[in-house]
Amino acid sequence: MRCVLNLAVVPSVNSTASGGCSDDPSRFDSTKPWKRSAKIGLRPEPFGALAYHFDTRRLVFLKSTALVDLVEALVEHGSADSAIEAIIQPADQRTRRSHQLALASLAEAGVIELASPTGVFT
Amino acid sequence: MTTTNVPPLVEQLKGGLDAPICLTWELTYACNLACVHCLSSSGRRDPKELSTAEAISVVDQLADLSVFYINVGGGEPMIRKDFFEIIDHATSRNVGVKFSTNGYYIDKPAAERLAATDLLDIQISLDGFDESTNDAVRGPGSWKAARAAMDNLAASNFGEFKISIVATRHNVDQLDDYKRMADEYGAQLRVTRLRPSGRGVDSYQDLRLTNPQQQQIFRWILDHPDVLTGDSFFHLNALGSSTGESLPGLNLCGAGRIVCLIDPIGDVYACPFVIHDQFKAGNVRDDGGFAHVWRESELFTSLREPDSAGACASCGSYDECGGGCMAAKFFTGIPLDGPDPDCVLGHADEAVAAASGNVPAPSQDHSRPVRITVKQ
Repeated sequence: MRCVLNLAVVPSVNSTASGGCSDDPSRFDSTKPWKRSAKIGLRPEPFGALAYHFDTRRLVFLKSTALVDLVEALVEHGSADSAIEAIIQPADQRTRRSHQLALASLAEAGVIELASPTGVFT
Repeated sequence: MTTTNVPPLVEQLKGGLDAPICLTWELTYACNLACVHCLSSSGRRDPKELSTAEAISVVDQLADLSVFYINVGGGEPMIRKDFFEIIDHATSRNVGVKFSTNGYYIDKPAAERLAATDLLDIQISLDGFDESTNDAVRGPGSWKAARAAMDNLAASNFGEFKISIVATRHNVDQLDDYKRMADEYGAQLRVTRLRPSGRGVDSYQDLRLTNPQQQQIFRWILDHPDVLTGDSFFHLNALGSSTGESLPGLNLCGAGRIVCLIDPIGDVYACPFVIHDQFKAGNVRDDGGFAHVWRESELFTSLREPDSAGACASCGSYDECGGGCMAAKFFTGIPLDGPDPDCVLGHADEAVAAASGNVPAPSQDHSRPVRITVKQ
């Protein structure tokens, strides 16, 4: 008998699911430029997208299409914050914060990575 | 932002995806072993087995659907002469390969070749920590062969391979020993549930966990979050109803919704544990190929409809266990909306007794004929 699945569920905006999410903002600097990791396969789905990390073998759910748009647009912006403003256009601080947290959990899962010239996580 | 009024993720997954998250692909029914719990009743190669060209075409179809990885098994997949050709093609197309093997064919050169392949994971099956426990299930010599394969992989610096265990009443007390073994190899442990599928129909009653053992393994898995389980023990979650504890994973039956099985002759089944005509959705050789079967088949469409709690509706733990495993119910003669035969609350005991002697006949069997010596 063999494996069917080994899943990591990364919560995203408006989610109360447990596991995977870092609530510690010190690990994710939204003022820095970020981009989708090259090690990631991204497959659009009606709910958002499935992301698979080919190194860690982790499967991650992006649970809204807006979050997928945000991840794809990161590379065009000088910071995660400016990408959130441009793509999500948050109406309030709560929405802004929830997307910062969603990106933080995606950074922790390796779905997105710093786009600094050195590419080094500091 | 429009994330309100969106059903929870698990509910959406139950409705099916455009393509499976991953799928199991049994490359061949040929096997050098004859494990008593083999879920695909493997042994003899099927003459209708997919050709190399057909297998390569299946890989291409899966790559086009962005299936991230395939679980390759059998039979013993390395028996196929084109085994490396198929997996090399998959990984070159960015389809990861996780393959299950008994290890017989992982000699030093094979180990080195495997170690040099990206996007490849290996699971060596070992159903007893010691030789006698393992060989009673997997056959004489199988323990030594598996350990030799592990040694060869370690010597080739393959990295973190997986040691894969089907939990039985004879090895469940050995999990701590297994864990030590895995740690010594730098390997990862996988423990999955025994199903009464294939030849497992006959061995299930002798190998299945007792209810105290089910409670024991529930705790053990909770205590070892780094051990993989393939999400296979979700029926045990009823044990956590009162404490709010739950095994990691999605805890849903993914059959035909997020996973499926392609068998060696291209037949597509709802999951690896229900190789039976009743759960056959189509064949990759049909018009439209795999995608058409996945998206349009009547069977898969019906599996994506909301579950009925059926006989479990009055049980307070249905939300935790979801009624358990469809395959386990089917092969023990329990209605699909009835309780899992291994229901930890004992709700299946009557149903199992009622179905006794009335289990579905297998619709395929590739076991090698047994030679019976008759004394003159």
